[in-house]
Amino acid sequence: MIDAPEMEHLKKLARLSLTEEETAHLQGDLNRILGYFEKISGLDTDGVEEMPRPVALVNVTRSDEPGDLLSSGDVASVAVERQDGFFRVPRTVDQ
Amino acid sequence: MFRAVIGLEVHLQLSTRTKMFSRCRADYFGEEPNTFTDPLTLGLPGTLPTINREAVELALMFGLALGCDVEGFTQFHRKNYFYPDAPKNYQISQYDRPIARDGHLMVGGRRIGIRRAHLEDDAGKLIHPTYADYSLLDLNRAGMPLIEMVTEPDLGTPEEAREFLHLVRAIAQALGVSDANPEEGKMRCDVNVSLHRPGEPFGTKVEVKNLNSFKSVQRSLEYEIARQTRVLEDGGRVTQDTMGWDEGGQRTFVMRTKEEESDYRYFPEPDLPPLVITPEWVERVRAAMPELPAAKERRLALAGLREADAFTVAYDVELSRFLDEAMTHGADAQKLANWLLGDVTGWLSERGTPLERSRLTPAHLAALVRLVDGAAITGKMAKDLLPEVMEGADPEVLVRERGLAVVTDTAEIEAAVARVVEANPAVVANIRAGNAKAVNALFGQVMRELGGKAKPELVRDLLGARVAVDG
Repeated sequence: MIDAPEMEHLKKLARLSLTEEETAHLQGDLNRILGYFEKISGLDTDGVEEMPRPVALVNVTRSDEPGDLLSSGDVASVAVERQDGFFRVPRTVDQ
Repeated sequence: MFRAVIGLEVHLQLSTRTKMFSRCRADYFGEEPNTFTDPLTLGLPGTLPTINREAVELALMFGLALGCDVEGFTQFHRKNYFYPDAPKNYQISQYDRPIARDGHLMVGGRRIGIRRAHLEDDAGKLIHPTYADYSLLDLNRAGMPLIEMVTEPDLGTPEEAREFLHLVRAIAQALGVSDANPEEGKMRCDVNVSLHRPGEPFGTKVEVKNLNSFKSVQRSLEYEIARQTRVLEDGGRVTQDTMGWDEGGQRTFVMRTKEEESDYRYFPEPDLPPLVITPEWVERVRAAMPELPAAKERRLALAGLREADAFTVAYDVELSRFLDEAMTHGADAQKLANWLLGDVTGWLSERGTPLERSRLTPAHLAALVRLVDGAAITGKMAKDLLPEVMEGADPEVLVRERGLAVVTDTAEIEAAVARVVEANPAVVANIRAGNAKAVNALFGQVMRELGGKAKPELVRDLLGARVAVDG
């Protein structure tokens, strides 16, 4: 079960700011999802081989040949804020 | 007394032409920010990763060199976190099935276990301007292929940790797996260190992150061992912290606590099929593996190099490349090494030029050694020529153009000896009367007659014979 402190932790990890109402709603959703997986976990899977991917593909690789680079105009077009060719982002370390 | 228990995590940037999961070019070093990106590097919606086969094979090669198991199933996982340096909002890494497992390296006769080595993509680079309320992000490095190697806690001292890193670098460079250059951020290191009394359980470990030189690895370990010793001796407890290293103050400091492993919500990367490393694939990689430093050391010792010189050369990728090529030009291995490790290294370090960027060629150094060996010039003459040879001159051309070649023509020397003996009857008489030292005066004159270019031993022999014969 996901309790209130766990919800606060998840909100922090996901960088989400939610109202009390939204938090309660999401907590209900998450607990229903968890309950569903608990049901699946109850199944007897002894002797069933692990299936890492639903599609049975392995060893799909590519050669080390370079492709095209994005132009600086294209890069600039996706930036919210820019400065001297850099993306400007929220400060990540203390002053 | 407390004993230190040290483990290392080493990140190496792989030497590929493109990034780990996209065809974005990887040769961004020194370029303008955000000029080496593509839609995948920027984490744009709708992009899908593809696995760079070369990166996989470099990782296999490195794993084999560390004596790891590499065969079998391996897969990528998503490591989820929100931070501005990761535009995808996750890193593609490996979790439960790394590409290389359970290896070891021998360091000074001690076995250091390698727990695992796995592939992952790198994050972008953040810079933090002073007094700004923002950070600046360059994504040129984002998506670069990395191998992360984790040791067992088998290292006992800061010096041993440093020695281990030197060995890892030598192996990575010899294989061409990575430039392993800490100054360019191509080799980065985290250390784990705890103290305990022998026979008692391990103590609480502290992690020091983001060390970007071998020296700061050693210094931070020394600092932490001293700090933890003080805490324990005062009856305190070491807290399990993640520390940073303050290069200016030469001390560790507590970093803000990071997420727990479960917070990363690892799950198998759904956009990438897993890899099955077959025995045939392993053999192909093994067959293409360049010579490892340990094998190089043995080969150079067999070629006649002194033990210490074979070690120095074998564990330095530039020295060994140079010496190997010089040896193909038919010069004596030890004599080449003497020049290379002596006068050549001295000349280069005075000027701060690395060997690979100097104008000296292996062929020219070999020619210089051959000229001395064949007695065409003296050792002294060779040393005088070295500065020009270091600047790219061909010693054979220099000798020819300047008529520097040693006179080895016996008839020519005999003629000069005869002239000098005839012109100095008094000195000759003096010698014959038993004053052997008087011969030096004649020797000097003969050398002058021949412009100083005669082989001294030959002159002495012929002069001695002449003085004796005439008697």
